[in-house]
Amino acid sequence: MTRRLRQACELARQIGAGGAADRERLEGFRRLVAELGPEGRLGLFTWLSEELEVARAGIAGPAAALQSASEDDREAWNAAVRELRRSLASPRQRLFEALINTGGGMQLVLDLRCEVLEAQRQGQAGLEALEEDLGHLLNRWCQHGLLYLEEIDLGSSYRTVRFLKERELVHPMVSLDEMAQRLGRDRACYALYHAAMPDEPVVFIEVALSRGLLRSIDEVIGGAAGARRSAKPPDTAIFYSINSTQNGLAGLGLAQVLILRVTDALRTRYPSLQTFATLSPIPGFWPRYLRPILEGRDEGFRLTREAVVELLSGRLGAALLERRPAAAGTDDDPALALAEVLAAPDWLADPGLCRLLRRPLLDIAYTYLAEETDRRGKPLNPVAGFHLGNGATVSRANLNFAANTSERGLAESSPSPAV
Amino acid sequence: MVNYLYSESSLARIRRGVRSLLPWGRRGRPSGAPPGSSGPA
Repeated sequence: MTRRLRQACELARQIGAGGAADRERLEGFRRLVAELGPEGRLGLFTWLSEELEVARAGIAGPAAALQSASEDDREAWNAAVRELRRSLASPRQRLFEALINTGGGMQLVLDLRCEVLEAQRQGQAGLEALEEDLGHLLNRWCQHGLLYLEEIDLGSSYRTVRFLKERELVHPMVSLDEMAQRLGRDRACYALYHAAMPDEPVVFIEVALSRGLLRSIDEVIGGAAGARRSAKPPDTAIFYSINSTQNGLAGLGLAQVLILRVTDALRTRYPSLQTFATLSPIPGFWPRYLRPILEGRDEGFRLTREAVVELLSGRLGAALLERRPAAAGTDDDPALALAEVLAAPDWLADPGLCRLLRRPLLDIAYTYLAEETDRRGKPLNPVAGFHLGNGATVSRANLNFAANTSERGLAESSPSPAV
Repeated sequence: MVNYLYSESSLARIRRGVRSLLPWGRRGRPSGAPPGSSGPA
């Protein structure tokens, strides 16, 4: 253990005792946290999770008092319960609550949780107690009437619009003009703010209003965006982008809060709305699902390579074998041929091939979204996991072929040489 | 891409999972008000 880490641990143990010295301890702790760097902080996280806990000496007395109290004497019983509860309060939560109450402390706690979650994703064990306390604290922080919804429109501040433009990661933008288009006619954007951080939203959503479903991103933010405009009031709201700006708030359900509040707001504003739907990407479809299947890498999927080969029979199989690149192998395996054809840069420009591929690819994509699950039984695709977990539904009819032909869209959900 | 559909029952399911929260804060405008009526600073 380094000297800095030892000092940070010592301060963490003392913070929360109250008094004027607490302020100095907090300042010292914050400085040390910054100086530790990522590796040192991982050591601090492990210590906080495994070592900073209530001591036996602190709870032995209250536990014994409760043990000997009679429930018939309500006053004595309740007092004993309260005393034991107080003695069991997590010293980690005391530390983080004290941190939150310092200037900029909330952002620090959010950043720390973000690092803890990332470490856990990387397989770091032993951080469960710390993550539980951080999650519990932030969940309380988000549940006390402190969240509020705002509509972001063309009258919103330049700072806000620029912030959203920079934080839009689902369909990123190059210019502010593109953001303005997303705030204009038949478009809307709503953001959820926390009263403690009123300058930046914690999560925001972009909505397209239309007559009927929009089935490609080009109809929402591309060249075809104006083609579906109607003089009639909209009957459909399409949520096409949800972005969280604070990774430290992951898993706390803020996106669900946002969807709920936005549907209420939109209903009030557009009584003609009948349908609420998303237009969502299918991340991972090509690199983590279809490609491994076609190349014969067994990843334990429900869909087998043999089943895919069956989908590729007849004219499609012949077309694939005929079209495969000259440098590719010469055997007559249609699955391998499909992988090779899809990896070439120009397959989307061949209308005949697209016509033949459309149905099998949509069938495979449907299986990926609706049937493939992870070890916990949750949808393998994270976006499907979010929406289906909310109770939304997916159907074959609502899968859209070649609906995002941007380089990013292709890399995520369709084959591309960039993958 | 894919359209996930949110029916009344799915919204009700979310509503059950979300505790009561203030929909509009001190800086916000009522959800039915037109844009520009009192937007953020």
